[in-house]
Amino acid sequence: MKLFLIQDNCRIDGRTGGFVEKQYAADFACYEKELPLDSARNQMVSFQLAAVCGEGERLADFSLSFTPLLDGEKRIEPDYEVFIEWFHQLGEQLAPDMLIPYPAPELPFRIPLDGRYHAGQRAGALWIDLFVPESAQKGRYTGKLTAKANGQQWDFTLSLRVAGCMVPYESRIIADLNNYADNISPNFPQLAGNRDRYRDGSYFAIEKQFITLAREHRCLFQNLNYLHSGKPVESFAPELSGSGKKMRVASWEQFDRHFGPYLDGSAFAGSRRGAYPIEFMFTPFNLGWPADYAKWGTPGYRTEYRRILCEYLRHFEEKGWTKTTLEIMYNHKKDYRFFPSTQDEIWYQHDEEVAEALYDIIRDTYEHSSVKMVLRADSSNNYGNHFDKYKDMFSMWVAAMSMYAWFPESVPLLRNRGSVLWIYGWYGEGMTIDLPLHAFLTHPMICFMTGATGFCSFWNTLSWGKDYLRTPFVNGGQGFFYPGEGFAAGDVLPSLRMKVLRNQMQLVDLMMTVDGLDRETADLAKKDLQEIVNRCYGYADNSAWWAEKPDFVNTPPRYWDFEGPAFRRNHYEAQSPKIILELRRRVLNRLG
Amino acid sequence: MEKNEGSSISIETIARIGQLFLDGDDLQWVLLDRMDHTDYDFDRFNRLKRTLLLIERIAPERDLAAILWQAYSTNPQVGAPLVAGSSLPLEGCKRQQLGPQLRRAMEQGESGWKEHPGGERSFYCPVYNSNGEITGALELLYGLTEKVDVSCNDMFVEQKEEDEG
Repeated sequence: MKLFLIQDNCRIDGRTGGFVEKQYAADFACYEKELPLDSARNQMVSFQLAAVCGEGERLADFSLSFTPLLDGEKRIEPDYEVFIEWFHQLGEQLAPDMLIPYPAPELPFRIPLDGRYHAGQRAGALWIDLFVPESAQKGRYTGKLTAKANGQQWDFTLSLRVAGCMVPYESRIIADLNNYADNISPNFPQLAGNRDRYRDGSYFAIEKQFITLAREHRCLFQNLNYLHSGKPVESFAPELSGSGKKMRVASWEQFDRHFGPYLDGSAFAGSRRGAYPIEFMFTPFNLGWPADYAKWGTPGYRTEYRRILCEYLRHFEEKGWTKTTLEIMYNHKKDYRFFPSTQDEIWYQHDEEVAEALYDIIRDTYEHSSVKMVLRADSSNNYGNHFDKYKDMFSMWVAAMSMYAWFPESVPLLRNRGSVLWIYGWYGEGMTIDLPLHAFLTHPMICFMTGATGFCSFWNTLSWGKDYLRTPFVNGGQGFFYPGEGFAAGDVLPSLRMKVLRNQMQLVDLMMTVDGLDRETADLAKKDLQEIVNRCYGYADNSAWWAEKPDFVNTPPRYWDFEGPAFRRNHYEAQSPKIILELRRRVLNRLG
Repeated sequence: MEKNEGSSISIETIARIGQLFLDGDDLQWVLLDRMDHTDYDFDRFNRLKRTLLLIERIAPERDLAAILWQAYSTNPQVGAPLVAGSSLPLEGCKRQQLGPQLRRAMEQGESGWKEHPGGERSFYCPVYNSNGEITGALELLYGLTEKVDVSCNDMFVEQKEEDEG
């Protein structure tokens, strides 16, 4: 039996005890005595404990303990969160992703972990988060981790450098986890079979676990809240009555019970992140709600739409829900047959007529409210055609990172208008288990380096598939959470990838504390950090974060070759996961 | 013949009203791009959609879904639900091989019923243009516990896993 510690930029292959990212193995270390760690204040610092069995050996008995971390008189309490890494089949490898809180009542830390799924498993691992509080003082701390396995004891020294800088509670860059209501209920038998789930609180209780878990990991869980038919899912919109000039909200009761705790922040009470309101939220407004689509093109359609929109705004004003940005997003796709135009990623130019008609209906309403409401454009294919043409119409833009990179001139134009600007996209089938972990650095760094204010790297985070314990659907590309069923550890479990993204978000949130310090200031801290990022990536300057406009940019998107080189550029293939540690170290050195 | 089942109006009668008010010329030309990606003539689509929504309201107690189908121009065995009222058909939104009842409605002008495995029922009838030609079929679907929509779980996960399998 061999026990050692590893950093948070690599994973152990449960089959061999080597690294999952074997092509970068020379860049990783196995720490058998002392593990160096770097952290700012108010952040989680992560590492892993690996156990590798000898030939014919099994791990049958295990325990773990920690001491406080000390630097002379200075002390950091041992505020650890430990997770058992569940290993999934990934080709010939066993790669960890699902995390189960340790100690787990239904799952002892063993090798093999589970006889059905882990036959031949040779190595196991724990993911360990240590919280370094805001109150921690700058210093070099040491603490002990003691592990006992099969009656043998291992003592490790944790050597933690804490910088004086602090990760802010609120993120300045949004890591958006997009979802569609209601794709939670089909995944939980107790909800799927319960017709009262939106009224008896059972749906709300499980949904809250997704939203708060995302918040703890510096992500935003968002449910697009109407079906493609345009009908809102029950409790995701207020109940309406009447029609035409008599249309009104009949009841806010169910809607308020559902969303009130997120909008006033009380749902996040007790969180390490703070009980502040959710940052963004979709609204149910679409072509099919609140107005009757049978009235499209008539004065009555406009009347119904504007009456409910104004009532919606007034309700939010009266409740004081003015911190959350409310998104009107038209998710319609003509090939789903309910509506004639595609508004999510306009494909044919005449679809713009409908966007303009809708804007004409809703304009001069939310602009005059203290409620933060935006009309959101998911426009990648036509981003180059739209960002200037529709700069007054849309105040939130979501553009795929490939097309976004062709138009650096869009950033000052939109940001100077106060618009929200997110990038959208992923690699291959999604941000999958088979990607090296530094791929999760890409989106936060594009934002920091180019001026985007958020990113969506998951269009769907709940489709873990039928046999996720063996291998999640598309290797986790559509799943970022796991169900806790069978482990008595809550309804919703995090993934290792979520921890990794959280750690990159901590870094970029820390870096964003110097946003603005690159011009007209005595301390060009942001400029310095951007140079550090470029050095770590091997880039000469910031231009490497953009791309040349391709020749076909002025042709209709339906003729583009989306498999071509213009869409394949990424920022991770030429790098090693060691960039995660190197960038973290250099940023902390600079910020002190 | 369908029993009225507590409604004052039969499905066949609703279908007959639908046939009278649906514009078969609009259905014939609702697709601007008939070979490639879906692209609609907005005005024609909206007139058809409005009529479908109103057909569904003739007998609210029936909670009907009204859908318009059209065969592919060069291969009438294949077709798609081109305009959906409040629900997709049980077969979903994609272009697909057409069942015998739908083909009889579109090729021979015969109205007829289809029983679905889940207990739902569909009534199909032809839709005619101003030249008296059949340009598609109206489906009236009832017995749904929930309206059919596109969701991540049924559209992407299950279908892809089946395809991969």
